[in-house]
Amino acid sequence: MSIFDLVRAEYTLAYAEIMRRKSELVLILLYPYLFTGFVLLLGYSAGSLEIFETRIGVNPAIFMATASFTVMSLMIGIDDMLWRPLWDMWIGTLPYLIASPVNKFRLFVIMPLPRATLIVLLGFTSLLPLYTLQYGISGLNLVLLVTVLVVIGVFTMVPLGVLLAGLIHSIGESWRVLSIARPIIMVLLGAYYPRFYMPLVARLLSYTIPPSHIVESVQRVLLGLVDQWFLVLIAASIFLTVLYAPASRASLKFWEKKKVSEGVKIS
Amino acid sequence: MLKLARRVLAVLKAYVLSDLVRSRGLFYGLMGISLWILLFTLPVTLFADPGSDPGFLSAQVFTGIMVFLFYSAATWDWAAEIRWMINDGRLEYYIASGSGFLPHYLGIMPISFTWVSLSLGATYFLLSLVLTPPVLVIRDWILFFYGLVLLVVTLLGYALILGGTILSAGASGAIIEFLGFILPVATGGLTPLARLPRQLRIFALTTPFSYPAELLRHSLLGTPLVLNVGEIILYGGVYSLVFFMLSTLYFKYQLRKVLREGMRLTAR
Repeated sequence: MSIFDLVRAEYTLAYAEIMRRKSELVLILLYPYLFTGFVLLLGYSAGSLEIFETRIGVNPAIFMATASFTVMSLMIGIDDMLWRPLWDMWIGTLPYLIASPVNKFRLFVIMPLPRATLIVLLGFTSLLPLYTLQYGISGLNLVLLVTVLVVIGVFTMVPLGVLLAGLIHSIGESWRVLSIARPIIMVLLGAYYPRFYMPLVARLLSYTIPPSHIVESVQRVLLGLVDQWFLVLIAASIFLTVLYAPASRASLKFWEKKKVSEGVKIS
Repeated sequence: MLKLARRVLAVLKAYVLSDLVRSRGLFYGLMGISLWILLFTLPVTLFADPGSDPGFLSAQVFTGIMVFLFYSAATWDWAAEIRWMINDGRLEYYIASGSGFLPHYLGIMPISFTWVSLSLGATYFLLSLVLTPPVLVIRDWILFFYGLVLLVVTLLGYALILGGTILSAGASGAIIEFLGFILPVATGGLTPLARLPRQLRIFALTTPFSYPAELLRHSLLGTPLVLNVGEIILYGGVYSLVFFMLSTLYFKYQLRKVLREGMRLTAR
């Protein structure tokens, strides 16, 4: 199966599912607002928006909306990779996937592609209204820049996502482990709570997650700090992506071999 | 009565086993909820005045999360339970058995309250780690318990409406998820009404949810109220009871409709 065929198949699958569950699509578009409202109102009860702005240097609504969009996008991007082996098991298609000659690594790397197109839409629905209110017409440029950065972030997350999927699905009760791994990644990305505020251990762990550097570069954009560090962060993210690639391929191979040798459960 | 007690015990045993014991569900569940709480409470510390009392700040966040956890229990444990029952094909058996929903809900409620309590313990621990231990002083025990009872009655009413809608219309998971998030945000569950923008405060007061949350916050934190205590006790009590009674009627109506027209399939 050529790459083109795989991309077409993934697009058809992803968008057929999205169109079938329109309420889910609406929820995806609303989520950044819900998360933003949730954190802002919780923040209201603990202090004030002015203190946040003085401390961070960015309007809290803008900061939280951007954080929510970033976290949502990264999770949308990798969720298919993380959950697909389980969904396939639940609906009984995992044996076909394992038996098919398709290159599994290639398939998993292609999975985020259809969702990445959705992220562009999400960028416009979640950021554009707030950015244009805050920055005027130049907010549009900022939306484009942040969206492009986040899409890059999604792709830098792919090898780590595949690595986790391979490892987690090789053990039992993988859905329970995934339910813990996802929020850990969300916290360590440093989108809601910038990593320079994190304790040292958490900060070091955050440095090992490729898109966390993209998240910091987005925060620097919001602060107006587009300097050489901005490029260093993007380079660090790409470097880590390349570094994880062999391990992620090996992890997926390990999962595949395990399924072939042990057999596939159908629930 | 003995039959009811036996049914309740059977449901309780089954759910303890499936939710808490099997596959270390309690451990994984608590870990998961702790991380989600951490994700949203860490940024809250950035809103805090550096000169403010960290114990009080921690208690404010704790109270907000406490109210949110009760809402989550109502959405996911009580209302969405109808959806799981439809999806698993259990609902028809319940209806055909003639036992009604009471034993089922009496059986799962202790588990819901255990979850809320354990999650609150996890929240306390996390807040102690990232901020400081919340200073929880109940200033008025009677008001606190009254607020708690009102909250549970109101949330039962809400679960009955949502459950009834799921029963008759087969609401999708996305709608349930949306309601579970928006309701505590929009009805003053997270923030004292006095701090909310005026329009949102007025909207919150038109719903029965804001009164118990205000009473809980006032009795735990001494938060200033937008109405006086007597008014909140009276309006909140009457509103919650009326809401609960109307919700019960709505649920019964939807159940009768389902018996007449048959069960709807729920969307994923």
